[in-house]
Amino acid sequence: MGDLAGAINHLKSSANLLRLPVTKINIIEQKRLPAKCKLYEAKKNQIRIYFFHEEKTGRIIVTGGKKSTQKQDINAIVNLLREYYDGK
Amino acid sequence: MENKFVEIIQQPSYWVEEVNNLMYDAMVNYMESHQLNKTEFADHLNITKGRLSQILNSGEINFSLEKLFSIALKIGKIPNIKFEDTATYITKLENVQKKQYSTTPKTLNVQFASDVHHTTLKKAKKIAKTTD
Repeated sequence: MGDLAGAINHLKSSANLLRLPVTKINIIEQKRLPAKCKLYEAKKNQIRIYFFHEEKTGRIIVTGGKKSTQKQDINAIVNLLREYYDGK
Repeated sequence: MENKFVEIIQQPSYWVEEVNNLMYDAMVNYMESHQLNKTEFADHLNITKGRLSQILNSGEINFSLEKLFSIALKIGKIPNIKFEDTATYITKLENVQKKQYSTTPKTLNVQFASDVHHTTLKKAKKIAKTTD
């Protein structure tokens, strides 16, 4: 719970336009992401919270996970985002 | 107020990160606005260059209170800390939420990877539509 609380504070700080190091908020580079879609992760130790930015809407939290399942989680999120943007 | 959020703000790490993040942002802003390089900035703060690099790379401050306040003052910030009653803090947040959302407040819903499925997609689309 402690790490999740820390990661949530990173989300809040980032939403309040504080600058944070990449060890806390990191942009995820993925070739399969839809164009113009920027995916980010908020990190605290093993905890990851994934969100993306959408113009006129803001930041949308997609899911959370752990470092150990990061690869699978990102793949699932990319598939979800492709479907989301296809349906728009 | 959602019980989960109340639980989150009761975690020390939430507040440790609050201070870390505010301090990191203030330090980076000062360094850039005064056009200091790392050596000059470390000298100004009276810490080693290695320690400064560690802070700038990780954002983990971990200073004693005295050092934290000393650095805050050196970068032109007053460390104005207050201890607020939990119930008062929650009431304030609820009031902000009421102002922001005229309908039911949207809650921060963190799901884990195994929960990623089509309902999440539908929810995301619904949120996007209601906020457009």
